[in-house]
Amino acid sequence: MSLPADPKLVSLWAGLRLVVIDTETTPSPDGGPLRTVSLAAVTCRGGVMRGTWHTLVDPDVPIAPAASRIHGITDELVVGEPRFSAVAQQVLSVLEERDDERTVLCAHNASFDVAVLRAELARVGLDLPDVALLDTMGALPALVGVRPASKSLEGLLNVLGLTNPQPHQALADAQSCAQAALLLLERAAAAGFDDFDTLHAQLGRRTHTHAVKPNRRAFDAASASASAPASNLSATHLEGHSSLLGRRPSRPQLWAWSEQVRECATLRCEHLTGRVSEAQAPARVLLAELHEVLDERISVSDTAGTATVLAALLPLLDQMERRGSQSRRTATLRWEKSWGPRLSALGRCGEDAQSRCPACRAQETCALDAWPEVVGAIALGDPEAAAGTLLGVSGARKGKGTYATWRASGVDARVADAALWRVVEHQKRTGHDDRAVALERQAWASGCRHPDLASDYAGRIAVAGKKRDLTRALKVCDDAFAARAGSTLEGWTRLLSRRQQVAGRLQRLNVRASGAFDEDGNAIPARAHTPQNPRRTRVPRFARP
Amino acid sequence: MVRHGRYGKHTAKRRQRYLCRPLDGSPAHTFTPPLPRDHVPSGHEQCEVCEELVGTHHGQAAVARRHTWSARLVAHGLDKLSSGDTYANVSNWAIRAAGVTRSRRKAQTTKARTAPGAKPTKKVKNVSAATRRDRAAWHIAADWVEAFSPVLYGPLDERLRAEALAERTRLDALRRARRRLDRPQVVLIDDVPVWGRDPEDKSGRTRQAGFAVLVVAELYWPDPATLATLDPEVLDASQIEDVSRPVTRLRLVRAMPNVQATSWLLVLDELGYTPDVVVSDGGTGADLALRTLYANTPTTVIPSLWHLNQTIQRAFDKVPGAWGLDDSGQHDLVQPLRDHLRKLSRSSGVLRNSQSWASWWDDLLGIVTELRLPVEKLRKSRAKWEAPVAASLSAMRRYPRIPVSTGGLETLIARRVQPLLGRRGNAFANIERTNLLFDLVVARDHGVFTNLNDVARTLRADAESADGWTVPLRTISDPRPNKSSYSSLRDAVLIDDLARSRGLIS
Repeated sequence: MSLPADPKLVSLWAGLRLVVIDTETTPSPDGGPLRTVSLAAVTCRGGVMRGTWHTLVDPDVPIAPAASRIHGITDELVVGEPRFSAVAQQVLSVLEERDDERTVLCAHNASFDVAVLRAELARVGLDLPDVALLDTMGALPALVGVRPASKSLEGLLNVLGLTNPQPHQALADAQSCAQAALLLLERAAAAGFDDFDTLHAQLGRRTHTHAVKPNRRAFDAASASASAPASNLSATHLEGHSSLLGRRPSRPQLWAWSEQVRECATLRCEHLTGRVSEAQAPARVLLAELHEVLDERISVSDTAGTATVLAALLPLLDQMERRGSQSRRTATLRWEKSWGPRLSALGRCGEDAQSRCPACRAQETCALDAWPEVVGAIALGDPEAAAGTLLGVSGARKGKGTYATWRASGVDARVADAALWRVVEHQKRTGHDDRAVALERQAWASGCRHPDLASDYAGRIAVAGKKRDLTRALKVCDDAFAARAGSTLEGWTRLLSRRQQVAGRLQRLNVRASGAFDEDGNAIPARAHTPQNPRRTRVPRFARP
Repeated sequence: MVRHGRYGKHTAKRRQRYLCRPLDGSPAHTFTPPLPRDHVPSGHEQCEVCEELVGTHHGQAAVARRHTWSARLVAHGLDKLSSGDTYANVSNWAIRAAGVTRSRRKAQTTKARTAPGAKPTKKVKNVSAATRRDRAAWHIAADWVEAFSPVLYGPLDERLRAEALAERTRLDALRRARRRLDRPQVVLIDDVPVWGRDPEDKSGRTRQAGFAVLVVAELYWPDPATLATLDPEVLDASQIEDVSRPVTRLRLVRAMPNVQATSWLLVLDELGYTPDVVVSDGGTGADLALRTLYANTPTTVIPSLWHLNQTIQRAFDKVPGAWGLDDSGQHDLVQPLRDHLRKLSRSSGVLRNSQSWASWWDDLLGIVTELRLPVEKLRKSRAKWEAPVAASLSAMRRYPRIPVSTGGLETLIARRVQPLLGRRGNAFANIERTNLLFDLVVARDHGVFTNLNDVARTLRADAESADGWTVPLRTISDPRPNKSSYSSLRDAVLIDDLARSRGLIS
C-alpha cells in the first residue's frame, strides 16, 4: 500500500473518501429524462484508488442506436441485468458518509452525472443525498495550473499524461477520472492546499450535489409528473402563444391577450414569461393588465397562479409608471407597500403538480421568493450613490440610515436586506473590501439576514480558524437559516454549503488527526488524552463572549 | 505490599512503584497510586518543607497527575503568592526546596548559530543570570495559580455567597415587616491605581501600569450568640466593645483595565446580592455603577468622608498660605482648616442633620474666604459631595455602627493588596490569571492559609476526585500576535463585551 508522503497531501486527504462515478445513458423515447444503462463507481482514500463497483442497468426502454454507437451497449447486452431500482440502494450506500469520513462525489462534467443519478433515484422514490462535489471538468484543473486542450475527459487525460484504454465504458471512464482527480489533488497539495475545504471553497458555485440543477434532459420523475399541466397544455392554448401583442394594441386585442394571460396563470404555463417579454405594447399597458390578473389570482388565493404571473411581471417592474416627480424608489416602495403584504400572505407553492409554478417545477427560484430581490434592487438604484446613506457603520450615524428607516417604516425586511446585500456586493466588486466588511458587520448587527450576506459574513468570521471563530460562524449561518421560512432563493443553497464547510472545519478541529492512516487509508484520529479519564474543564471568567 | 522500583526517569522527580502480593493467593501485581508518591532514597528521609522525618513509604504525594510538585510544596507556594511574593521568587524557591534539577539548553552564541552567508540572528539582550533564571521559572508558580487558586477560592466563594444570600433573605423579611435591620449588609468599595516601572525610562520612574485593582470588602457582624456569652465580670467594657465591633474583610479583589462604570458593574454584579449600605470612595465610575445597579433598590450609598477629607486637602495643593506645621511639627493644613476638617466624623454632630451638614460647608467656605484662599475648587467639591452625603444622613443615624469612611478597607488594601503590586505592576498582563491570584488574597484574608496541611489536603482531595487529574494548564493564556503584544488585563473592549453579554450594559 503506497501512502502519500507529502504532509500537505496527507492533510488534504485526511478524513476524505472520494467516490468517482460515471454513467452511460440512453435517451428516453418519450422525450423524458435520460436513462442509465451502465454505472461505475471508484472509491479513493488517502491518495490511492481503493475499490471499484460497476454494473450494467436495464433501462426499461429500447437503447437508442445513436447511444449504442457511443458506448457500445445494446439491448441484448442488458437483458437480464438489474433495473435501476435494484441497484439504487447500492448507489446510495456508496455515497453514504460513514466512520467519520467525508464523502466527496467526483466526476468529469459532474453536473450531468449528478442530474442523471438524481432523475433515476427520484423515479424510484429516493433522493440523492447532498454531498460535496468535485468536478474534474470544472475549476479544479485551472486552479492547479492544468490547462487541457478541450473540456472532454480525454483532453484532461492527455494533458496529465494518462490514457483511457476504453473510452465511454463506465468503469474505464470512472477509473481514468479517478486517476486524473488523484493527480490534480497532488498538484493542489504541491500548490499549498493542505485542507480540502479551502480547496473546495475555491471551486466555484456547484460544490454540492444540491447546487446542481437538473438539466432539461434529466428532469426527475417527480418534476416530469409535476410539469404535466405544462406539457399537457392544450393545442389551442399553445397556438395562442404564437399571437404576439402589437405595439399599439386595440382594446379587444388587449382584452384577448389578457384572457390568454389568465389562462396561462390558471394552467401554470411556463411560456407566460416569454409571452410577456415578446409583447411589443408599452410596459405600462402590460403592467396594468398583469397587475389586474395578479390581483385576481391573489383574491382567489391561487398561490401557483400568482407566482406564474409574478414571474412574468417582475422584469417589467423597473419600467413602472411614476406619478409626477415621484422618484423610482418611492414608486417601487409604494408598489411593495400595496403588494408585498398580499404576496407574503400567500405562502409558498404546494407539492403537487397543480399547485406548483413553472419555476418550482424546474427547481428554480420561485417568483414569490424572488420579488424582494428585484424590488430591493430597483428601490436602491445606483449602489455607489446609495452606499453612503444606506446604513451608517460608525460614529453618530452608526446603525442609522435608509435601511433602518425602511425597516422602521414597515418595508418588507427581505426587500431592505436585498438592497443592503447589493451595496455590499458592489463594494466588494469595486475593491472596497474594508467598507464591505464594516457594512457587513453592521448589517448583521442591524438584523439583516440575507443569505448571501450571512454566507459572506460567516466566511469572514471563520477565516481566523479558531474553534471560537468557527462556532460563531456556524451560529451566524444557523441564525440566518432561522429566517429562511422555506425560501427557494439560491443564496440559501450557498449558505448551506458555507455552513457545511464551517461545520466540517469545526469537526476536524475537534478530532485531531494523528497523521497516520489505517489499512483502508483512513486518517486515524490522534489518541484522546486518557480517554478513560476525560480532561477536566473550567470555564474562564474573563473569556471573550 | 513492598516498594518495587522507581519510574519517571525523564521527569524532575522519580516516583515510587509498588508491588502487591495479595494474601488470597492471586498473582502479584505492580501499581502506582493515582497521586504518585516521590521516591524517598535512603538517607533522605526528610520532608522538603517542614524537615520532619518521613518513612520510605511516605514520600510526598504529588499535587496531581503529571505535576512534579508535591501538594505540601504547592500549598506553601500558594501561601507565599497570596502574601505578595512574585511568581519568579516562588518558582525559584520551589526548585530549590524540591531539590529538582532543570535541564537547560546551552546558551548558543550568535556566531555558532549563524550559517555562512545567512543573515545574522537577532542580538540577544545582555541580561543578568538572575533575570534569565526568573524568566525561565516564573511559569511554575503561575501554573499553580491557574490550576489551584479556584480549588481554594471556589468553596470559600460558594460559602460566602450562600451566607450572604441567607442573610439577605432574613433582612428582606425584616424590611417587609417594617422592622429595623439589626445587622445590615454593608459593603465598602475602593479602587487602587497601579503604577509600574516605565521600561522606556532609564531613570527608573514609574507610570500608570494600564490597569487598576477594584476592591470590595464586607462588614462581618459578630455572631449574636457569641455576644450573649460575653461575661461583663470577666471582660471590661472596652474589651467587650472590641469583640462586638464588626470586622471588615475582603470579599472581591479584581484587576480591571480601568475604574470606569463598566468595570464596577462587573465587580458589583459578581457580588451576587444587593447590600443595604454601600460605602463608596466617591469615584465617578463607581457612583455611576451604583446608581445603575441599585437604582430601584433601598440600598443607601454613603460617600466616604475620608475621601472627602482627601479631596479638600488636595484642593489646597501648592496653595501658599494653606499649609503650615501642626503641634508635632508635621506638615499639615493651617490651624483653622485643620480643626474644621477634623469635625468630619460621627461624634462632632456635623452629620446630625442636613442643616448641620450645610452649615459645616458654609463655615468651611467662610474660613477659606477669611484666609484669602481660593474657593473655586471647594465650591466644586461641595456641589459634588454635599447632596449625596445629605441623602445618606438618615441611614447614618439609623445605623450608628456602620462606618462612614472606607478606612477599614484602606487598611486591608495596604496590608493585603499593595504587597502584590509593589514594583511589578507591569508584570501583570493576563486578566484571568491576575484575578485568580487576587482570589488567593481574599482566601488569605478569610483564613484559608492558616493551616497549610488543610490546604494540601484540599488540593489532594480535589485531584483525587478526578482520578488525579487537574484542569489542563495554560488554557487561559493571552494570544500572542505576531510582531505585537496583547494584554487582556489592559483590554477595555473585553470588559465592555463581558458586561454586554451579562446584560449589564446595552
